[in-house]
Amino acid sequence: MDLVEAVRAIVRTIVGDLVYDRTYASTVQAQNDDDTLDLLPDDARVRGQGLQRVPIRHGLPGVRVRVPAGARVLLGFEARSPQRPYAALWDPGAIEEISFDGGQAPVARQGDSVAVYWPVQMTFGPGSTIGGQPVAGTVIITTQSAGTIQTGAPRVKA
Amino acid sequence: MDFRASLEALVRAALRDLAYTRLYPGRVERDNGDGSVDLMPEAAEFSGTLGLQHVKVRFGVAGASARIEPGTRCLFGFEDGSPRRPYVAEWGYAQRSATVSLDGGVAAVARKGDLVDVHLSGAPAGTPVSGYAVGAIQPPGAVPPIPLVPGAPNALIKATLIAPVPVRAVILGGAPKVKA
Repeated sequence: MDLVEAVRAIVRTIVGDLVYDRTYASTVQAQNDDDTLDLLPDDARVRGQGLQRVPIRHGLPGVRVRVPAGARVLLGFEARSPQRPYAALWDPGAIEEISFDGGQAPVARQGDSVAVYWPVQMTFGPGSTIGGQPVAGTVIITTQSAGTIQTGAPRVKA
Repeated sequence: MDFRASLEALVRAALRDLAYTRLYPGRVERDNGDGSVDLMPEAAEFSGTLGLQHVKVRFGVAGASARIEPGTRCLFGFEDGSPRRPYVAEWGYAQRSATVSLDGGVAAVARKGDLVDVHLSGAPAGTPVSGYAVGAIQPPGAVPPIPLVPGAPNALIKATLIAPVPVRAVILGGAPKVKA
């Protein structure tokens, strides 16, 4: 073994396979019920038959996402261990759903509808008139009214 | 020490910084409230250490910030491979692990099903309303009712309404794919 090969062997002994030090562009083949992903990496060095049940590491705590097949993401390896793959950092693209803190209700937005529920009856205040004639008594609004959300966070959109 | 052992020692010394080019698992011990956390690594390379303090938090969503609960799992790395510049990069999901804010906002995000208070003034002022009445006015006595036709002067309403209880509404719509 010549010197170059000797050094190469030593380096490989010390640092192991640098393959697991990098991240790899990958395609989502499916997302499982436990949110893990089945991935197919582009790079043949880590592709094999694909990786199954890869956990997602999110860029924001408390977040869950559901993504369609075909979504693009980076595959990495925690502490450079081939037994500990993870998915992180997404290419821009459509999602099926994003939720915060396990929430199930859609986020309301400026322009969304609101249903207004009136009290059973309301009272005419002092000085009320109909046709110029004083009126007193109660008003009953029997139909549900509608409204629209008028304001929202200027730089947070959904 | 033979030649190979010497060479190995040299190479190890030259490559020791590679350890700081990777991401490692960890667990948050405390959020310091200044954009940093104290965390305990969960990788063998850091066993026996007392943890890392004041580790800067980075988010994968621009404009985001968060208060992180102790016990939240994360991946941390080192900027530019420097051991003096650790940062948190990624997060494992757990419910109630964080309070997230976008663009520095402090108001809770409204959701489909959340309640809305419609502001009507109470007594004695009441809330002004105007319009036209429909139907008829029954004067006292055996007198025929006076019909009220929208647009006619005798049907014009100028009144205030006093609601005995707050008027409530509920949000009907919401983003179909963004939940909270």
